[in-house]
Amino acid sequence: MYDGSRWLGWKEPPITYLQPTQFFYELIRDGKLKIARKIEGPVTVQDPCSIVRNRGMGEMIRDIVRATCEEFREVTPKLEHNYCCTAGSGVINYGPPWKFIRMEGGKVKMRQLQATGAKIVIAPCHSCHKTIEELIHYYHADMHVMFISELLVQTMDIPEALRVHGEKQEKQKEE
Amino acid sequence: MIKVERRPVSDPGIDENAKKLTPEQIEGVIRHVLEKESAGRLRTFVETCIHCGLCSDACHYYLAYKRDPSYSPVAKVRLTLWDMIRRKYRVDAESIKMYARISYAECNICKRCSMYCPFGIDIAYLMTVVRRICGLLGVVPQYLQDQGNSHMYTYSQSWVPQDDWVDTALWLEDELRMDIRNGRIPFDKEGAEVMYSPHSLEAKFKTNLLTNIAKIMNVAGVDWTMPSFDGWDSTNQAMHVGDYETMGMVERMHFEAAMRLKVKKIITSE
Repeated sequence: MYDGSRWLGWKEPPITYLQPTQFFYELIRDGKLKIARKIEGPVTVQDPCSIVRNRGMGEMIRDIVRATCEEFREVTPKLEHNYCCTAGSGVINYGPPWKFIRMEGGKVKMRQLQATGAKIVIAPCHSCHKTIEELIHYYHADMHVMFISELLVQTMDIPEALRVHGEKQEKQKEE
Repeated sequence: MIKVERRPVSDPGIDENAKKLTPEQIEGVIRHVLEKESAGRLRTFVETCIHCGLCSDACHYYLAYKRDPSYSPVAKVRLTLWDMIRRKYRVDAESIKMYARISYAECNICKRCSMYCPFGIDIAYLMTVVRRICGLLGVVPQYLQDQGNSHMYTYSQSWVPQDDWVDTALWLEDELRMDIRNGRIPFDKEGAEVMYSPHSLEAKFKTNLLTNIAKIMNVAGVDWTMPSFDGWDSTNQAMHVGDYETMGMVERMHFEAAMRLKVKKIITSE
Protein backbone atom coordinates (compact mmCIF):
# COMPACT_ATOMS: atom_id res chain seq x y z
CA MET A 1 0.00 0.00 0.00
CA TYR A 2 1.70 3.19 -1.10
CA ASP A 3 -1.00 5.72 -1.83
CA GLY A 4 -4.46 6.63 -0.76
CA SER A 5 -6.08 6.23 -4.16
CA ARG A 6 -6.02 2.47 -3.99
CA TRP A 7 -6.99 2.48 -0.32
CA LEU A 8 -10.09 4.46 -1.37
CA GLY A 9 -10.82 1.91 -4.10
CA TRP A 10 -9.75 4.09 -7.05
CA LYS A 11 -7.51 2.41 -9.59
CA GLU A 12 -6.01 5.76 -10.63
CA PRO A 13 -6.35 9.23 -9.09
CA PRO A 14 -9.63 10.79 -10.37
CA ILE A 15 -7.95 14.00 -11.60
CA THR A 16 -4.63 14.39 -13.44
CA TYR A 17 -2.01 14.83 -10.79
CA LEU A 18 1.24 16.52 -11.82
CA GLN A 19 4.44 16.95 -9.89
CA PRO A 20 5.71 20.54 -10.20
CA THR A 21 8.92 19.31 -11.88
CA GLN A 22 6.89 18.09 -14.83
CA PHE A 23 4.75 21.24 -14.82
CA PHE A 24 7.81 23.54 -14.86
CA TYR A 25 9.43 21.38 -17.54
CA GLU A 26 6.36 21.78 -19.73
CA LEU A 27 6.25 25.55 -19.13
CA ILE A 28 9.84 25.90 -20.35
CA ARG A 29 9.39 23.42 -23.22
CA ASP A 30 6.26 25.20 -24.48
CA GLY A 31 7.93 28.60 -24.28
CA LYS A 32 5.51 30.01 -21.69
CA LEU A 33 8.39 30.78 -19.38
CA LYS A 34 11.42 32.44 -20.96
CA ILE A 35 14.84 32.20 -19.34
CA ALA A 36 16.66 35.54 -19.32
CA ARG A 37 19.88 34.75 -17.44
CA LYS A 38 21.79 31.71 -16.20
CA ILE A 39 23.01 30.77 -12.71
CA GLU A 40 26.81 30.88 -12.44
CA GLY A 41 29.01 28.19 -10.95
CA PRO A 42 28.87 24.38 -10.96
CA VAL A 43 25.44 22.92 -10.15
CA THR A 44 24.43 19.35 -9.35
CA VAL A 45 21.10 17.66 -8.63
CA GLN A 46 19.46 15.37 -6.10
CA ASP A 47 17.04 12.75 -7.46
CA PRO A 48 14.13 12.52 -4.99
CA CYS A 49 12.90 8.91 -4.70
CA SER A 50 9.27 9.97 -4.97
CA ILE A 51 9.56 11.59 -8.38
CA VAL A 52 12.60 9.87 -9.92
CA ARG A 53 12.60 6.23 -8.80
CA ASN A 54 8.83 6.07 -8.63
CA ARG A 55 7.81 8.38 -11.49
CA GLY A 56 10.89 8.62 -13.74
CA MET A 57 11.33 12.40 -13.95
CA GLY A 58 15.12 12.47 -13.61
CA GLU A 59 15.76 13.74 -17.14
CA MET A 60 13.18 16.52 -16.69
CA ILE A 61 15.08 17.85 -13.67
CA ARG A 62 18.31 17.77 -15.68
CA ASP A 63 16.74 19.52 -18.66
CA ILE A 64 15.50 22.34 -16.43
CA VAL A 65 18.91 22.64 -14.79
CA ARG A 66 20.71 22.71 -18.16
CA ALA A 67 18.32 25.41 -19.35
CA THR A 68 18.86 27.64 -16.31
CA CYS A 69 22.46 27.02 -15.18
CA GLU A 70 25.80 27.49 -16.89
CA GLU A 71 27.54 24.37 -15.66
CA PHE A 72 25.79 21.12 -14.74
CA ARG A 73 27.72 18.34 -13.04
CA GLU A 74 26.30 14.81 -13.02
CA VAL A 75 26.25 12.72 -9.85
CA THR A 76 27.24 9.05 -9.63
CA PRO A 77 25.16 6.93 -9.21
CA LYS A 78 22.50 8.89 -11.01
CA LEU A 79 18.77 8.84 -11.83
CA GLU A 80 16.86 5.88 -10.40
CA HIS A 81 20.10 4.45 -8.99
CA ASN A 82 20.77 7.56 -6.91
CA TYR A 83 20.91 7.32 -3.12
CA CYS A 84 18.07 8.48 -0.92
CA CYS A 85 18.69 11.70 1.04
CA THR A 86 18.01 9.82 4.34
CA ALA A 87 14.89 11.86 5.09
CA GLY A 88 12.28 10.13 2.99
CA SER A 89 8.98 8.72 4.22
CA GLY A 90 8.61 11.10 7.11
CA VAL A 91 12.05 10.61 8.70
CA ILE A 92 12.60 14.35 8.25
CA ASN A 93 9.75 14.97 10.72
CA TYR A 94 10.95 12.85 13.65
CA GLY A 95 12.45 15.83 15.44
CA PRO A 96 15.59 16.28 17.56
CA PRO A 97 15.77 12.77 19.10
CA TRP A 98 16.30 11.24 15.66
CA LYS A 99 18.41 13.89 13.95
CA PHE A 100 21.59 11.84 14.41
CA ILE A 101 20.26 9.01 12.25
CA ARG A 102 19.80 11.36 9.29
CA MET A 103 23.21 12.96 9.77
CA GLU A 104 25.08 9.64 10.12
CA GLY A 105 23.11 7.88 7.40
CA GLY A 106 23.56 10.87 5.09
CA LYS A 107 27.33 10.39 4.98
CA VAL A 108 26.95 8.48 1.70
CA LYS A 109 24.83 11.21 0.15
CA MET A 110 27.22 13.94 1.27
CA ARG A 111 30.32 12.17 -0.09
CA GLN A 112 28.55 11.70 -3.41
CA LEU A 113 27.59 15.37 -3.64
CA GLN A 114 31.03 16.61 -2.58
CA ALA A 115 32.68 14.43 -5.25
CA THR A 116 30.97 16.51 -7.95
CA GLY A 117 32.59 19.71 -6.68
CA ALA A 118 29.34 21.61 -7.21
CA LYS A 119 28.43 24.72 -5.19
CA ILE A 120 24.66 24.47 -5.66
CA VAL A 121 22.46 21.40 -5.25
CA ILE A 122 19.02 21.39 -6.87
CA ALA A 123 16.64 19.34 -4.72
CA PRO A 124 13.02 19.41 -5.93
CA CYS A 125 11.55 17.89 -2.75
CA HIS A 126 10.91 19.43 0.68
CA SER A 127 12.44 16.49 2.57
CA CYS A 128 15.57 16.29 0.42
CA HIS A 129 15.99 20.06 0.49
CA LYS A 130 15.87 20.39 4.26
CA THR A 131 17.99 17.40 5.09
CA ILE A 132 20.73 18.19 2.54
CA GLU A 133 20.88 21.69 3.99
CA GLU A 134 21.37 20.19 7.46
CA LEU A 135 23.96 17.75 6.12
CA ILE A 136 25.92 20.66 4.62
CA HIS A 137 26.06 22.34 8.04
CA TYR A 138 26.91 19.09 9.80
CA TYR A 139 29.78 18.18 7.43
CA HIS A 140 30.93 21.83 6.93
CA ALA A 141 30.59 21.66 3.16
CA ASP A 142 30.70 24.72 0.94
CA MET A 143 27.38 24.34 -0.87
CA HIS A 144 23.81 25.44 -0.76
CA VAL A 145 20.51 23.91 -1.78
CA MET A 146 17.79 25.32 -4.04
CA PHE A 147 14.32 24.33 -5.18
CA ILE A 148 13.49 24.39 -8.89
CA SER A 149 10.97 27.17 -8.23
CA GLU A 150 13.72 29.30 -6.67
CA LEU A 151 15.90 28.61 -9.68
CA LEU A 152 13.17 29.71 -12.08
CA VAL A 153 12.30 32.87 -10.14
CA GLN A 154 15.94 33.94 -10.26
CA THR A 155 16.42 33.24 -13.96
CA MET A 156 13.07 33.85 -15.67
CA ASP A 157 12.32 36.82 -17.85
CA ILE A 158 9.58 39.06 -16.37
CA PRO A 159 7.72 40.87 -19.17
CA GLU A 160 7.81 44.68 -19.13
CA ALA A 161 4.07 44.90 -18.36
CA LEU A 162 4.44 42.92 -15.12
CA ARG A 163 7.56 44.66 -13.80
CA VAL A 164 7.38 46.89 -10.72
CA HIS A 165 11.00 47.12 -9.61
CA GLY A 166 12.47 48.35 -12.87
CA GLU A 167 10.63 51.67 -12.74
CA LYS A 168 11.31 52.27 -9.05
CA GLN A 169 15.04 51.71 -9.42
CA GLU A 170 15.13 54.00 -12.43
CA LYS A 171 13.37 56.72 -10.47
CA GLN A 172 15.84 56.32 -7.60
CA LYS A 173 18.71 56.65 -10.05
CA GLU A 174 17.23 59.83 -11.51
CA GLU A 175 16.81 61.31 -8.06
CA MET B 1 21.27 -14.58 14.96
CA ILE B 2 22.18 -11.10 13.78
CA LYS B 3 23.91 -8.91 16.36
CA VAL B 4 22.01 -5.65 16.76
CA GLU B 5 23.87 -2.78 18.40
CA ARG B 6 22.06 0.55 18.52
CA ARG B 7 22.49 3.85 20.30
CA PRO B 8 19.60 4.19 22.77
CA VAL B 9 17.13 6.94 21.81
CA SER B 10 14.44 8.19 24.15
CA ASP B 11 11.30 9.03 22.21
CA PRO B 12 8.13 9.22 24.35
CA GLY B 13 5.98 8.19 21.38
CA ILE B 14 7.75 4.85 21.31
CA ASP B 15 8.85 4.27 24.94
CA GLU B 16 5.75 5.44 26.81
CA ASN B 17 3.20 3.98 24.42
CA ALA B 18 4.95 0.60 24.40
CA LYS B 19 4.41 0.37 28.19
CA LYS B 20 0.64 0.39 27.72
CA LEU B 21 0.54 -2.59 25.35
CA THR B 22 -1.02 -5.91 26.39
CA PRO B 23 0.00 -9.28 24.87
CA GLU B 24 -3.55 -9.87 23.50
CA GLN B 25 -3.54 -6.47 21.79
CA ILE B 26 -0.18 -7.12 20.12
CA GLU B 27 -1.19 -10.56 18.91
CA GLY B 28 -4.56 -9.29 17.66
CA VAL B 29 -3.09 -6.40 15.67
CA ILE B 30 -0.35 -8.51 14.06
CA ARG B 31 -2.88 -11.21 13.16
CA HIS B 32 -5.23 -8.60 11.68
CA VAL B 33 -2.54 -6.92 9.53
CA LEU B 34 -0.76 -10.06 8.34
CA GLU B 35 -3.81 -12.24 7.75
CA LYS B 36 -6.61 -9.82 6.85
CA GLU B 37 -4.95 -6.79 5.22
CA SER B 38 -1.96 -8.19 3.36
CA ALA B 39 -2.65 -11.45 1.62
CA GLY B 40 -0.82 -13.09 -1.30
CA ARG B 41 1.79 -10.42 -1.94
CA LEU B 42 3.24 -10.56 1.57
CA ARG B 43 3.28 -14.36 1.64
CA THR B 44 5.05 -14.54 -1.74
CA PHE B 45 7.68 -12.02 -0.70
CA VAL B 46 8.37 -13.69 2.65
CA GLU B 47 8.55 -17.18 1.14
CA THR B 48 10.60 -16.21 -1.96
CA CYS B 49 13.49 -14.45 -0.21
CA ILE B 50 16.58 -16.69 -0.05
CA HIS B 51 18.68 -14.33 2.18
CA CYS B 52 21.29 -13.79 -0.56
CA GLY B 53 22.04 -10.27 0.70
CA LEU B 54 22.38 -8.65 -2.74
CA CYS B 55 20.15 -5.86 -1.45
CA SER B 56 22.70 -4.88 1.22
CA ASP B 57 24.93 -2.63 -0.90
CA ALA B 58 21.85 -0.74 -2.10
CA CYS B 59 21.05 0.60 1.37
CA HIS B 60 22.64 3.91 2.35
CA TYR B 61 22.34 3.06 6.05
CA TYR B 62 24.29 -0.17 5.49
CA LEU B 63 27.04 1.76 3.67
CA ALA B 64 27.11 4.64 6.15
CA TYR B 65 27.33 2.34 9.19
CA LYS B 66 30.47 0.60 7.88
CA ARG B 67 28.63 -2.37 6.38
CA ASP B 68 27.06 -3.44 9.65
CA PRO B 69 24.96 -6.47 8.57
CA SER B 70 22.09 -5.52 10.88
CA TYR B 71 21.43 -2.46 8.68
CA SER B 72 21.04 -4.42 5.47
CA PRO B 73 17.49 -4.57 4.05
CA VAL B 74 17.23 -8.32 4.37
CA ALA B 75 18.22 -8.11 8.04
CA LYS B 76 15.58 -5.47 8.65
CA VAL B 77 12.90 -7.80 7.29
CA ARG B 78 14.34 -10.71 9.21
CA LEU B 79 14.40 -8.78 12.50
CA THR B 80 10.80 -7.60 12.09
CA LEU B 81 8.36 -9.60 9.95
CA TRP B 82 10.10 -12.96 10.09
CA ASP B 83 10.57 -12.55 13.83
CA MET B 84 6.81 -12.05 14.28
CA ILE B 85 5.95 -14.99 12.04
CA ARG B 86 8.49 -17.31 13.65
CA ARG B 87 7.17 -16.50 17.13
CA LYS B 88 3.55 -17.00 15.98
CA TYR B 89 2.64 -13.33 16.64
CA ARG B 90 3.29 -13.73 20.41
CA VAL B 91 5.89 -10.98 20.84
CA ASP B 92 6.56 -8.67 23.78
CA ALA B 93 6.52 -4.87 23.96
CA GLU B 94 10.34 -4.69 23.75
CA SER B 95 10.22 -6.36 20.33
CA ILE B 96 7.55 -3.92 19.16
CA LYS B 97 9.89 -1.07 20.17
CA MET B 98 12.64 -2.62 18.07
CA TYR B 99 10.28 -3.10 15.11
CA ALA B 100 9.24 0.55 15.38
CA ARG B 101 12.84 1.72 15.42
CA ILE B 102 13.84 -0.40 12.42
CA SER B 103 10.80 0.34 10.28
CA TYR B 104 10.35 4.05 11.12
CA ALA B 105 13.90 5.29 11.59
CA GLU B 106 16.22 2.91 9.78
CA CYS B 107 14.37 2.62 6.49
CA ASN B 108 13.42 5.49 4.19
CA ILE B 109 11.13 3.34 2.00
CA CYS B 110 13.29 4.62 -0.89
CA LYS B 111 12.92 1.32 -2.82
CA ARG B 112 16.54 1.29 -3.95
CA CYS B 113 16.98 -2.24 -2.53
CA SER B 114 14.06 -3.56 -4.60
CA MET B 115 15.99 -2.61 -7.74
CA TYR B 116 18.86 -4.94 -6.82
CA CYS B 117 16.80 -7.88 -5.57
CA PRO B 118 17.12 -10.78 -8.07
CA PHE B 119 13.49 -11.72 -7.40
CA GLY B 120 12.18 -8.14 -7.42
CA ILE B 121 10.91 -8.37 -3.86
CA ASP B 122 9.45 -5.06 -2.77
CA ILE B 123 11.27 -4.73 0.55
CA ALA B 124 9.95 -1.20 1.05
CA TYR B 125 6.42 -2.61 1.01
CA LEU B 126 7.38 -5.10 3.74
CA MET B 127 8.61 -2.20 5.87
CA THR B 128 5.31 -0.36 5.38
CA VAL B 129 3.51 -3.47 6.65
CA VAL B 130 5.65 -3.30 9.82
CA ARG B 131 4.87 0.42 10.09
CA ARG B 132 1.18 -0.38 9.78
CA ILE B 133 1.43 -2.79 12.73
CA CYS B 134 3.34 -0.27 14.88
CA GLY B 135 0.97 2.51 13.80
CA LEU B 136 -2.11 0.56 14.85
CA LEU B 137 -0.45 -0.21 18.20
CA GLY B 138 0.34 3.49 18.63
CA VAL B 139 4.10 2.94 18.93
CA VAL B 140 5.19 5.79 16.65
CA PRO B 141 7.86 8.53 16.93
CA GLN B 142 6.13 11.34 18.79
CA TYR B 143 6.75 14.12 16.26
CA LEU B 144 5.41 12.01 13.41
CA GLN B 145 2.28 11.03 15.34
CA ASP B 146 1.74 14.71 16.14
CA GLN B 147 1.60 15.48 12.43
CA GLY B 148 -0.74 12.56 11.86
CA ASN B 149 -2.98 14.06 14.55
CA SER B 150 -2.72 17.44 12.86
CA HIS B 151 -4.13 15.89 9.68
CA MET B 152 -7.09 14.54 11.65
CA TYR B 153 -7.76 17.86 13.32
CA THR B 154 -6.93 20.60 10.79
CA TYR B 155 -6.52 18.65 7.50
CA SER B 156 -3.02 20.08 7.22
CA GLN B 157 0.33 18.72 8.29
CA SER B 158 1.55 21.43 10.64
CA TRP B 159 -1.51 22.65 12.56
CA VAL B 160 -2.47 25.39 10.08
CA PRO B 161 -6.26 25.78 10.33
CA GLN B 162 -8.33 26.93 7.35
CA ASP B 163 -8.71 30.57 8.50
CA ASP B 164 -4.93 30.92 8.98
CA TRP B 165 -4.39 29.54 5.51
CA VAL B 166 -6.62 32.15 3.87
CA ASP B 167 -5.09 34.93 5.95
CA THR B 168 -1.54 33.88 5.01
CA ALA B 169 -2.32 33.76 1.30
CA LEU B 170 -3.90 37.22 1.46
CA TRP B 171 -0.82 38.91 2.91
CA LEU B 172 1.36 36.95 0.52
CA GLU B 173 -0.64 38.46 -2.33
CA ASP B 174 0.14 41.94 -0.95
CA GLU B 175 3.84 41.09 -0.91
CA LEU B 176 3.68 39.57 -4.37
CA ARG B 177 2.61 42.94 -5.76
CA MET B 178 5.96 44.42 -4.70
CA ASP B 179 7.56 42.25 -7.39
CA ILE B 180 4.82 41.58 -9.95
CA ARG B 181 2.49 44.36 -11.03
CA ASN B 182 -1.15 43.43 -10.28
CA GLY B 183 -0.03 39.93 -9.24
CA ARG B 184 -2.85 37.66 -8.07
CA ILE B 185 -3.25 34.64 -5.82
CA PRO B 186 -6.73 33.58 -6.97
CA PHE B 187 -8.90 31.60 -4.55
CA ASP B 188 -11.81 29.32 -5.51
CA LYS B 189 -11.81 30.11 -9.22
CA GLU B 190 -14.24 27.59 -10.65
CA GLY B 191 -13.23 25.83 -13.87
CA ALA B 192 -9.59 26.94 -13.73
CA GLU B 193 -6.96 24.97 -15.62
CA VAL B 194 -4.73 24.20 -12.65
CA MET B 195 -5.21 23.83 -8.89
CA TYR B 196 -1.98 24.37 -6.99
CA SER B 197 -1.91 22.58 -3.67
CA PRO B 198 0.95 23.62 -1.42
CA HIS B 199 2.95 21.88 1.29
CA SER B 200 1.61 23.13 4.61
CA LEU B 201 5.06 24.55 5.46
CA GLU B 202 4.44 27.02 2.62
CA ALA B 203 1.61 28.43 4.72
CA LYS B 204 3.70 28.51 7.90
CA PHE B 205 7.52 28.80 7.85
CA LYS B 206 8.52 28.88 4.20
CA THR B 207 5.98 31.30 2.76
CA ASN B 208 8.51 32.62 0.25
CA LEU B 209 8.10 29.36 -1.64
CA LEU B 210 4.41 30.05 -2.18
CA THR B 211 5.31 33.56 -3.37
CA ASN B 212 7.78 32.00 -5.82
CA ILE B 213 5.06 29.73 -7.22
CA ALA B 214 2.69 32.70 -7.52
CA LYS B 215 5.37 34.64 -9.41
CA ILE B 216 5.93 31.78 -11.86
CA MET B 217 2.18 31.30 -12.40
CA ASN B 218 1.63 35.02 -13.00
CA VAL B 219 4.59 35.41 -15.35
CA ALA B 220 3.74 32.26 -17.34
CA GLY B 221 0.11 33.35 -17.55
CA VAL B 222 -1.29 30.11 -16.11
CA ASP B 223 -5.01 29.94 -15.32
CA TRP B 224 -4.62 28.75 -11.73
CA THR B 225 -6.40 28.67 -8.40
CA MET B 226 -6.20 27.33 -4.84
CA PRO B 227 -9.02 26.17 -2.55
CA SER B 228 -9.85 28.45 0.38
CA PHE B 229 -11.48 25.48 2.12
CA ASP B 230 -9.99 22.33 3.67
CA GLY B 231 -8.20 20.01 1.28
CA TRP B 232 -5.59 22.58 0.19
CA ASP B 233 -2.64 20.76 1.73
CA SER B 234 -0.91 18.22 -0.53
CA THR B 235 1.03 16.40 2.20
CA ASN B 236 -0.03 13.23 3.91
CA GLN B 237 1.96 12.23 6.99
CA ALA B 238 -0.72 9.77 8.09
CA MET B 239 0.55 7.52 5.30
CA HIS B 240 3.98 7.39 6.95
CA VAL B 241 2.47 6.69 10.39
CA GLY B 242 0.70 3.63 9.02
CA ASP B 243 -2.68 5.18 9.83
CA TYR B 244 -4.32 4.39 6.50
CA GLU B 245 -7.81 5.40 7.65
CA THR B 246 -6.66 9.01 8.14
CA MET B 247 -4.58 8.80 4.97
CA GLY B 248 -7.68 7.88 2.97
CA MET B 249 -9.67 10.70 4.55
CA VAL B 250 -6.98 13.30 3.76
CA GLU B 251 -6.63 12.11 0.19
CA ARG B 252 -10.37 12.13 -0.40
CA MET B 253 -10.60 15.71 0.99
CA HIS B 254 -7.86 16.70 -1.40
CA PHE B 255 -9.47 15.28 -4.54
CA GLU B 256 -12.91 16.49 -3.52
CA ALA B 257 -11.57 20.03 -3.25
CA ALA B 258 -10.35 19.73 -6.85
CA MET B 259 -13.71 18.31 -7.98
CA ARG B 260 -15.56 21.15 -6.26
CA LEU B 261 -13.44 23.70 -8.15
CA LYS B 262 -13.88 21.74 -11.43
CA VAL B 263 -10.17 22.08 -12.28
CA LYS B 264 -8.45 20.09 -15.03
CA LYS B 265 -5.34 19.12 -13.11
CA ILE B 266 -3.69 19.36 -9.71
CA ILE B 267 -0.09 20.54 -9.24
CA THR B 268 1.42 19.58 -5.92
CA SER B 269 4.26 21.22 -4.09
CA GLU B 270 7.85 20.20 -4.78
